[in-house]
Amino acid sequence: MTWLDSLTLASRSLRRRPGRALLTILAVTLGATLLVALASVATSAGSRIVSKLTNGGPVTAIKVSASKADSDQLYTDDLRAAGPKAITDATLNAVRRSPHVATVIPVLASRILAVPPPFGSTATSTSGAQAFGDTMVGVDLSQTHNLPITVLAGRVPHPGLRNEVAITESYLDHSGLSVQSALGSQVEIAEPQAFQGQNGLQFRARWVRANIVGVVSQQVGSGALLVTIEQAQLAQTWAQAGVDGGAAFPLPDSQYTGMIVVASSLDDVHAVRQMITNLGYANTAPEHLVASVLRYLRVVDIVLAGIGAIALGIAGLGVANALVAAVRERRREIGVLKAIGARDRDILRWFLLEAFAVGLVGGVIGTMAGLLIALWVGVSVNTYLTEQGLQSIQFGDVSWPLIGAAILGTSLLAIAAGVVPALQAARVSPQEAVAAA
Amino acid sequence: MRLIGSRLGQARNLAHGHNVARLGSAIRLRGVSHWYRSGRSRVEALHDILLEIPAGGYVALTGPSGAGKSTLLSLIGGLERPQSGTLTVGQHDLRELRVDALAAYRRTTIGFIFQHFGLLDLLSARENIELAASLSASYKRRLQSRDLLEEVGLLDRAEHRPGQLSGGERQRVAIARALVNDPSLILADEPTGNLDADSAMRVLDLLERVHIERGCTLLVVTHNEAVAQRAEQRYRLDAGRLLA
Repeated sequence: MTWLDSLTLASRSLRRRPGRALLTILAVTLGATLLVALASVATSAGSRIVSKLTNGGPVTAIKVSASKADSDQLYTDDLRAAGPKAITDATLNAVRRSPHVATVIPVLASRILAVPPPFGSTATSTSGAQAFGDTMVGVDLSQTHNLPITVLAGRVPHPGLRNEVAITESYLDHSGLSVQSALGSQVEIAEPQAFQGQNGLQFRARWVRANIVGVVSQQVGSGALLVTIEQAQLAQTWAQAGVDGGAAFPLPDSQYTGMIVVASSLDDVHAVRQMITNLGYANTAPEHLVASVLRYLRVVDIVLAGIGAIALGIAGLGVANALVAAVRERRREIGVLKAIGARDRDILRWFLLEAFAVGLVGGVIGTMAGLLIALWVGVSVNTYLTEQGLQSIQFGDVSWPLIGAAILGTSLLAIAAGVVPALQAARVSPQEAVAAA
Repeated sequence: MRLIGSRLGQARNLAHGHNVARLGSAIRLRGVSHWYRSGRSRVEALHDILLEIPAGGYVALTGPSGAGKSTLLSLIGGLERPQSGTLTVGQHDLRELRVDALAAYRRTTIGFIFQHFGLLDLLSARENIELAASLSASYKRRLQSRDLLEEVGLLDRAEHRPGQLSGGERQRVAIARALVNDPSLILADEPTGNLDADSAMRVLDLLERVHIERGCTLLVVTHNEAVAQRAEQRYRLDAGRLLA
């Protein structure tokens, strides 16, 4: 018997008892729906929670400061700084060469004076009250995906461009601008330099006017402006060309003010932090917090997977039950088929294909329904969060591996459930053909 | 023990000048006994059967219900193995064949015709025939399903399901299915048992025509004496014993 013959027999057998086939498919559908909906919501919620903990950056990111680490650094997620310690290209290279390190991104923060529009106020004349002192954070923006940066509106500056800047909510607060009015406007940036003038220590600035291209939430460094590292390096070079401005504006003594180190995996974060601490640098990563949250999420996953597995198990029993009934009904047909020469494996294949068809159809419908339910849950949750004045969470991401696994899983489950009835069918004696007659 | 044999069937074919395609399988039973378990007791279905049916013969087997006719048919058809004695059909010693070999024997050597037709309601007349052909992986024969339907006069009913056919038509489809793998032995279990007189005669005519034209051995189990009378040889079973 060919596969096509077996498939024809299987599909027509299902159509012969449409009510029973429908109920069996419905059982599989419900199981798959529950599993996919739970998995989708749990995965989406889990990744969003972790993402929130890491401020949008990779969960394996470690923030390193140009400071000495104190002795307790490794036992806490927080930064434990104990005096300045310069970060140079040599430091970056040393970290890059270490095991379990995926990426190292230098960070350079510079003190600046920001002047939002309308322009006209100056560093010494801030009567317009728009000018404010803050920090400009420069970083390699081609690696945004590895940085704790969340774009709230617009985009980040193009890497290498010195006339683009992204602002944070701090800038909006200082300037009184809304997101819409800030986007597309310009900001004047005064990069200061201390010098010895006729009246002693004086300050002057290098002025830059930049386009605001985005609004971001960032934890790369503390500052209202996010710029390309090239722009921050120009500001530092300018400042270093002057003299030490004392406590108000000390001369930069570190090539970089920090770095973001991304470990190869979550399991490697601790080892990489240890290596950085051994190099003497203070660092921070939500290592313990993420591990703790992930443990709770894991428990939630296990509970939800258990519920889904029970649902699928019931669906499997439904498939097995339907097939046992089918074997009982078709003993004469099976006997006839064997009497005219069908092998045991021909009969086995017929029933297993029938089980597979039920699993496949139920799996496809159930997976789609599960995704729709996950989407609906997302909309409901977001509506609630918005009503409560909280930031919404994005649910309902289509996970192709989940879809594939769900459809394949339900199909295989149905086949597994059909094995015993199919073996029973295969063992029906060909004498049934004569006995029935 | 009795030895009953004949070459009349073959002789008649030749004498009537029919073009016999090839000779059917000879059936040889020696001391065959068979019994079933019913609870703790043993029910003897066949007792010490000695029978020889020549290749190309046309034999009727009669007897009352429970005489062992269907059991004998099952043994010859390879549906089960005899518990004692020897049973050979052509070159096949059926006691020695394993499960897969028995299935292959049924596929290639036997054409079964059942009282209740044994057609799959799921499939059309044509598909029933093609399914039997595909069991022997004979794609060429599969293409012959329409020829066979034409041969049994049902080409116009090819796409009908068994439920849409009359009893006589269903039995003719069953005959076409039995022929698709070109068997050397046709076993018919009460082939007219569920048919009216006219349909029964048409089916018997068809079976006899097939037997003559194809030269296959034909063994018909029947209650009906009129049907049995048409065979070249007649045997009677009673309480598991073969009578003259």
